[in-house]
Amino acid sequence: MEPSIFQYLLGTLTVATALMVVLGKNPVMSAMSLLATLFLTGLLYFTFGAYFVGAVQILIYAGAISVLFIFIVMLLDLKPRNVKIPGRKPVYVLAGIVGVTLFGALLVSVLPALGENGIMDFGLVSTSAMREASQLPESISLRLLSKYMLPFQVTALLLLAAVMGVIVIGRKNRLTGPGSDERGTQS
Amino acid sequence: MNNLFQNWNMFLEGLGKVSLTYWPVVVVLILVAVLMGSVPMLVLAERRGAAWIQRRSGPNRVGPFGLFQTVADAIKLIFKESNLPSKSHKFLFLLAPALAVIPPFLALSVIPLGGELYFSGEYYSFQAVSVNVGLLFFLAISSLHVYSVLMAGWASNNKFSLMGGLRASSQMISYEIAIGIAIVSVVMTYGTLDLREIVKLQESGSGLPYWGLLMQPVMYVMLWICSFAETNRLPFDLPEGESELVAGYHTEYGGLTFALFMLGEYVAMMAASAFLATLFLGGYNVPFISEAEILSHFQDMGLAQTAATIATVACQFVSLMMKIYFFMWVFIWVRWSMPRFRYDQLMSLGWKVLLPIGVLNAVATMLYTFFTRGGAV
Repeated sequence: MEPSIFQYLLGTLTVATALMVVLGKNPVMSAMSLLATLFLTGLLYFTFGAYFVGAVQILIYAGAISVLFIFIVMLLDLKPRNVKIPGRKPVYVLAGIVGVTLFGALLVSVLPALGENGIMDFGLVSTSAMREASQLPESISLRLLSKYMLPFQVTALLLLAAVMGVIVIGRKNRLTGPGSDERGTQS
Repeated sequence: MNNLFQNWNMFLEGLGKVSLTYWPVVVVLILVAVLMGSVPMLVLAERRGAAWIQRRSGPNRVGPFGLFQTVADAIKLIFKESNLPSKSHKFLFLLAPALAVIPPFLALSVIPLGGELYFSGEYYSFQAVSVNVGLLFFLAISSLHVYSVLMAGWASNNKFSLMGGLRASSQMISYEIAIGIAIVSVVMTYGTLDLREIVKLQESGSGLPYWGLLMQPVMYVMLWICSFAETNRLPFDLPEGESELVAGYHTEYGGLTFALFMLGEYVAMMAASAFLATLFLGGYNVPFISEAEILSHFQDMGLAQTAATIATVACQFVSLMMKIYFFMWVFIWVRWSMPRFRYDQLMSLGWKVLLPIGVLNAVATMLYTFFTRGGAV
């Protein structure tokens, strides 16, 4: 399937808004650009006929998660001059390694989809099966609850760990022991 | 009479020869025309209805029965200066009213407006966009409505606006969860995410209408309550509570930008009404009569296939609009009958009452579906 001009336009806009997230000076504008990126990605799925994935992308990422981002950015009143990135070099190196690895993994999994027998087709992913699976909600849910059950559950565990981490970090006083607030009273 | 029909049939057959490649555009134009025509009428109905409930006269000076009052208001709003607060974020301040209008219109595009039309050997469904996950698409697009409120509140650089925006976002997010849970039961009942399929499943013959209302009565009431919260209408209009927040998120807006917010609110109400009608009141179906019966009735009158399908679809569209107007009237009626909720009451209703009821109903529906369909999914 040859991509249409509309898909090129959407792709360009997605990349442009994604760059604005990183390069923008104003945190609220960055959060809004992130929203635009997520929404445009959903629209791209629609143009490829993957209605279910597109609708879920917009419903979850653009509709719910971005609201929380923007909500918190607004509440914290982050002025451009208040935002300082901590200058620890090992963190940068680690972040760079993780970023490059993730990018490579995504590239390897995405490039075969460029053509049925494209130049980069390593045979890792069957594009026709992917296309079929992305169109029907039934096939997605059946695969998710049979073949991909383990990754699904592991992701759930990961989210649970993240929630617990947030509670641990967000507690006001870590020294007075569990279940107590600043004044040392049991809550 | 017959002669007239013959001429009409010949005209339509000629029309049918034209290739209808741009059929979705035609549907979108009809939809936008109907919506833009309905909004002034609904604003007037709201003001006259309020006056009637409160035993006043209401606007009755401009034109017969005050019918041109909204037109006069619209002209005034268009020509009024819309000021830009000097310390606002200009881009987001102007983007917010546009975002208030776009999502409700987009959400309405997946609602099936009528059955199928016959033109030159092919059937065209009377629906702007036909996607197989229309229900999810509707929820996804209408969840974007919160951004206009949030953006308007933040970009105005006004504490009342910001408070309104923050209230609106937390309120809409909370009630979206209740809507999501309610939808789970509905989807399990119908077994599809396609809105057209859902409407077809509710088609009734001469007996009792086979409506979603009778299959999921609790979820019907719950979604109805949630639609009030989602459209920021009384008794859940805390984002613009005048008594404490001036006018909430649109305090700084005037002129055409304010008019866009109003338009967005009314179209969002119509979208919520159309959604409720589609899921629970049989959508475009005419009660007590099936599509085939209407069609054969028109064919008996001497209409050809094309004309008969057009007449059928017109009947169905009127049926849908009557259901939408019913819900719209209830929106107005409730607004002038109920006091505003306190904020903690609003939140506890959403999280402690509606959400548990929704979960319980979903579990009950799950068990019922599992056992009545022989244990197979």
